[in-house]
Amino acid sequence: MKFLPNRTHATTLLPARTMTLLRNWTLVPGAIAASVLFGNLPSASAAVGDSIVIEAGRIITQAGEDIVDGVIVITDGRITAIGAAADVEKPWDAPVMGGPEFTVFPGFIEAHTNNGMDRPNENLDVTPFLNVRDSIDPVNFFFEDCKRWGITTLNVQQGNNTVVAGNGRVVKPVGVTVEEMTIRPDFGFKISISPKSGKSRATQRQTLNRAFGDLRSDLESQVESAKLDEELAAREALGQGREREAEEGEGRAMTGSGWKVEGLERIKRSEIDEKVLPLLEMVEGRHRTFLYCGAPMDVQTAIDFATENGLLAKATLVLDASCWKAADAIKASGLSVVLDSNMVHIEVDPITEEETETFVPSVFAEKGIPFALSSANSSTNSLWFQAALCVGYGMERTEALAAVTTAPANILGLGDTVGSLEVGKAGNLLLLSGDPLDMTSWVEFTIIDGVKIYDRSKDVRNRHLLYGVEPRGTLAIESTASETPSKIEVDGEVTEEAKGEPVEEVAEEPIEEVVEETTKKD
Amino acid sequence: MSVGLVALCAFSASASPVNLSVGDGSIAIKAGKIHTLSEAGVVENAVMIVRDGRVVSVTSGGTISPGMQVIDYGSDATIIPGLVSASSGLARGWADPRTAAPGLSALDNFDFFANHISALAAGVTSTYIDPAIGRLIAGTGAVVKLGGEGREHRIVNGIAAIDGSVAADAYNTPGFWEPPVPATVDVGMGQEEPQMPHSLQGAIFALEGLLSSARGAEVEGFGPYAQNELGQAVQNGAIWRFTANTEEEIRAVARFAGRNKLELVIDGGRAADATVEMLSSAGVGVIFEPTQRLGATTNWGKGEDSSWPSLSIPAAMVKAGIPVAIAPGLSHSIDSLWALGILASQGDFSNLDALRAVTLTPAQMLGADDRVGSLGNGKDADFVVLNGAPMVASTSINATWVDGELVYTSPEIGAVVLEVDELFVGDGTVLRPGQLLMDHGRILEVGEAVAHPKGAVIIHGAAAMPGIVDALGHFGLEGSRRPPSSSVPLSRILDVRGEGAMRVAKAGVTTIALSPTSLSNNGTTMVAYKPAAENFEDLIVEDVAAVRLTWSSENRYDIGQDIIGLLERAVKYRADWAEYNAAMAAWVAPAPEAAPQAEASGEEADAEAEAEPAKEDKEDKKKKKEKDLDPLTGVWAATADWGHARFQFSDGPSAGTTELRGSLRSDALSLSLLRFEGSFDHDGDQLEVTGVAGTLTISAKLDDEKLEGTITMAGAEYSFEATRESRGYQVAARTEVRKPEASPNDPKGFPKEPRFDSDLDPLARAMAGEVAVIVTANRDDEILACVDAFEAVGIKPVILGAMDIHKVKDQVAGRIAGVLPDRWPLRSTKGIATVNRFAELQEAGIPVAFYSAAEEGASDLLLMAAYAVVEGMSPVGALRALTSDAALLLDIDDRVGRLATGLDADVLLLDRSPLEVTARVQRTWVLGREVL
Repeated sequence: MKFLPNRTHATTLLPARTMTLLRNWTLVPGAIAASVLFGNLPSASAAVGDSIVIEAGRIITQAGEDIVDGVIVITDGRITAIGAAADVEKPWDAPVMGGPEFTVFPGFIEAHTNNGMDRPNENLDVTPFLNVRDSIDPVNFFFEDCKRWGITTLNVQQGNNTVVAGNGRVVKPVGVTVEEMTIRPDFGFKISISPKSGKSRATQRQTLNRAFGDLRSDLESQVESAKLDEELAAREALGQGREREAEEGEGRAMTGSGWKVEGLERIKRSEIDEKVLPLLEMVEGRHRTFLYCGAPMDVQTAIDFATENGLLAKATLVLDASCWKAADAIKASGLSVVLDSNMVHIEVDPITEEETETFVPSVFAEKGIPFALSSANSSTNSLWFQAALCVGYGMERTEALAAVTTAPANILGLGDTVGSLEVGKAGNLLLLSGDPLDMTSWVEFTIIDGVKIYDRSKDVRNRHLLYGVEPRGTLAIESTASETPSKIEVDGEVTEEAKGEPVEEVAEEPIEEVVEETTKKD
Repeated sequence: MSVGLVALCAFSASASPVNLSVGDGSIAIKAGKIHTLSEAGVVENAVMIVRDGRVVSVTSGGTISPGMQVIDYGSDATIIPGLVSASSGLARGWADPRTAAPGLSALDNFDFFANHISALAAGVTSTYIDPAIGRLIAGTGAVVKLGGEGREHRIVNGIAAIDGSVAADAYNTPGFWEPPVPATVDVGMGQEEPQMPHSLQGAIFALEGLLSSARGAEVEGFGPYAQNELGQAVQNGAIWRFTANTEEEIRAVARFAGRNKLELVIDGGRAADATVEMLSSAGVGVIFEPTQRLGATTNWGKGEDSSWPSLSIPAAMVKAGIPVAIAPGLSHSIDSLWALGILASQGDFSNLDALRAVTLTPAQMLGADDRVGSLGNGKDADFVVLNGAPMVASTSINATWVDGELVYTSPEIGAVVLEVDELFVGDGTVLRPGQLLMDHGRILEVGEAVAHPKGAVIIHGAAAMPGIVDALGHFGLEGSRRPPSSSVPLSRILDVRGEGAMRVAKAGVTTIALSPTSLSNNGTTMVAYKPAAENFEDLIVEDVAAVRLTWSSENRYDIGQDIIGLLERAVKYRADWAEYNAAMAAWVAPAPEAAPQAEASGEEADAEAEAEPAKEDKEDKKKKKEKDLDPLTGVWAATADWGHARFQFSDGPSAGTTELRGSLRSDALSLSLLRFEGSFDHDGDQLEVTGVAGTLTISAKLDDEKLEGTITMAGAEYSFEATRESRGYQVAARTEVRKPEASPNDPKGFPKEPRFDSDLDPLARAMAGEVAVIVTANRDDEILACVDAFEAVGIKPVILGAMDIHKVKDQVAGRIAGVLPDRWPLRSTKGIATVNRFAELQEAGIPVAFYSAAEEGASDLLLMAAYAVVEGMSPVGALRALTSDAALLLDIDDRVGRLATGLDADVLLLDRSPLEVTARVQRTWVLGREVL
């Protein structure tokens, strides 16, 4: 690995605004130290005009044929050229990374997750006024794992233990603030059709119906009283013998495919209770909804509910494994689905005690229902593993790969920016040591928006777990010593912090190719 | 009629309903009886036509047009409508926080994807579901089907009832509190709003309030939704269904319904009998939920307001004209509906009342009778096939159909229940009526009423008796007259289920004591076996059932001397073995010697203890070595198409070594002598050597004194086959240092086993009472001498022939096991007068048995007995002589001969009492398997 472009000091990568923000944050030094430690330098964006050239033995574009010995040029975070090495003109001054030993693959896309938050759910039933923005923790391990396993786009939604949850968000796993991570702010709402704890399906349905029913009746009565006010004003004007001033255009008429409240334009949107305003916007089809179904019996309810309330056009079903049984109803509704991380549904015949195993993604693939796979969390059952499992169960490779790249991108409405490697799309890609579905392949580098945000050779946690390399800057604690000799390993050298104890040899690092970080201390 | 047919039909039905391409898709279902519960009533010899999941017609002996799929469940089968459970917890979830939540729909809680096979197996095809319990109005209930396709189709009545309770379970509704979001200085957290009811009067008051709010009045305290939702439910025509158990509750809720002209159904109704007059005048129906907990003990009547539950309430109510449905209560699942229906048929509640209470009545009450609950024209083809009368404990469910599709068939468990008018046990007792349960090849139960396991095939008939035992036959010899060898077991020649065997079995003979036709002087063993058994494991009843000897002889001088000598030898033989066994029991291994040498000798002792298995091992190895201790040493010559070769294995491998040295001379390969070294694998007889110099390798296999293999030399391969020319160089063989093997002799003092004698052994066993002895003796003096001789050695013989036994019957009674008299039953006395010798002996207390002394002729045994009966033998005695006494004589009565628990399930079904000479065997089971 002879190339390590953009090797810059961490702090220089942080825009001034972020730094100002961080200054008030007492943990900043720790955070920076942490990011140095992880070897994954979070970078907000590449400098304007910056290009990077990525070479690879094979590029799996997910948009047509694979490219052998290909080159990708990323400028300003977008792919500006992609093709065989001979066909692509490389900017002479751009740093080059990669090489023939690498396979390039688009970053994986997690179509739905409730990881990365402190807690997935509030305990109130209907909470459209909440926002996951306030819950996402940028230094959550989850996001570090995402970089490690090459997940570059995530849709973070509230958990399933809810009725109507708060606003979600599409993020990338890089950045020290939520804003920095954000790709699509205020994106989507979770609605659970399965009962949250303490509810039965009937009471869950009742709560849902009431949430939207109340909204409707409240709006109607608001319109009614607005009408009365207008009439009163008109009468008053008439009595005073003056032209009443027209008050058109104050509000906006209701749109959408579900129920409508006539005369809503009489009310300013700002006059509507902001706690339920998101519900109105959902009915108007302004928000994507993720309807969680924990059992096949929920699917029809979800479809009916979405139809009644005009959510159908922008709804996606988040399904438990058992929901494959309702695949026909899903197909008829035309909805897309996000599958559970558990992809094998096992049923036991109550009489013969025979087990029937159903591989769920295959059912959806056969029916032609657009589906995305999801991982339980990003380290176990990560997306590459899920896709590989699909192939293992006999699914077409292209279909399995699409289910973790293009399919989730389309489900999230991001199909024209992420999910495949084409000119004009975001420079989100992975340099893999082999095929993406190969058990022995590693994500060597993760690139988001043209910036390298993960380098396996600097992955401290990985090296600690796999090779026993003590992370630099941590306290090495000897188990036997009564008084702990503290020594700090900085930049490959061991310095004695106290007590003048003899310096111990550090174990030789087993990886030959490790390129030492040359960051200087200020 | 025939159960086999039913089973077959059930099987074909399970396979075929999907295959309806022929004709218009109609299915004709035939059964002995169909309880339609419609105007048609009970249809006998019925044919039900089903098309597109609906009943088209139910007629008696209806016409079946060509192309229809016909499923015949047989004339014993009864079809009833699928059961309708008037209550269930299948969709029960959390109750609403409000005291009245009429908008809560049970349908939302019902899982249409769930597998309800256990309920379907119990015959329940539709059920009422409630959304929750424990509220004044918990929500609306629905009637759904437990099988069938399509959610919409499976909903029979989506809003069947406004479901609530005025009973104590609704009195604990907690106060209602909803936190404001957000709670601010202006908006306080609020507090609990108490909710009614906490008493019966509160419940009725609240109901009145709710009802008037549904009718438009402004009523506070039930939240913003109850009014609209209740109004909608009432508009949709839902009835009111309230849980009420005590007399007060029932009266109060009935009055409430009466005042407001509501259609009411009372659920629970534990004390409904006290209010029958009121209920019948108010036209209120009752869903009676038996509170008895099946299979669990409960105590009743302890509390102040607790009452004694009674199962006779339904009867009282039906008498008063109140519609009554039986339904599972909270402690029962709907799977027990069938059992509850039977239980509730106490008092004057007939089986048909009970049937109505679990089918039509609940369907009518809950607005589902247009589709389920009866089998009229146009109704859903949901029905249950029974193997007997409905709502009877001994009846079980054979199959369940929903929408004209088979959804459940009872598994073929193999158990068969015979229900006959007369059951002849075989030992003289007769059960009228009698039942018999057999499974796993054994008789499990015999009695006037036996268990009817679910899925058991039930067969009705006139009479049943044990399979006949041929006490002495030749069936199975295939005409062979060769004298037998006592050392070859007779069972070796037996075959399984030949054609003749089936005929003999169908004639009723299930067990044959087989004797060779020619006898040996030293006793001939007889095997008792079942020619119609299904496999060899089941074939043999007893390998050595009897020993046959002949006392009669032309030579009167040494008559019986052979046998006496034989018996003497047998006595000695038995004594030898008894002595040996006693010695073995008493023998202890020699104690280890004194302490200092204990270790060494202990080891030796241990080694000796292990000697038994180790010895065999060693002997095995020894044999291997003995095949050739020195397999290679010497000169081997080979001639092949490429030339000649001579191998000399000078330092050949002998036992224990594998190294090998030698040389090869072959002009075709080299001018010089090629020396080699290598190894020889004794186990695989594989030789692998390489040249000391140069590129020679030889790989060969020693096979039957021949060495076959290939020589590889300078890259070329030469195959060869060498034979040994001499064992020269034997001097070079290494001297064997072999440890002398441990003496195979038993340790000192170890008892010596006597020699096994296949002639004497059966006699010795006969002395122990394990084997019967059948002795041919005819004259009275022979018989006496014979009995004396056998008595001396403790054997009670069976006398075969016994022409003159009537003369000495009093002398031998009790000293012999029985008699196999000459097959001609009559004996002349005083000219034309005849005496039946079978009867005569039975009267004297001597067991007799019929026997065929023939091969296929065994099938005439029943006729033989009939003839004996015609000639004056007691029919009961004749039956005994065919079965239990025959088994007793042969000492196989622990397996066959009677219909008793634990014995082999060899059973005959007859068209009339076997005591009538015209009786014929209709069906035969051998070891629980029917002989077809």
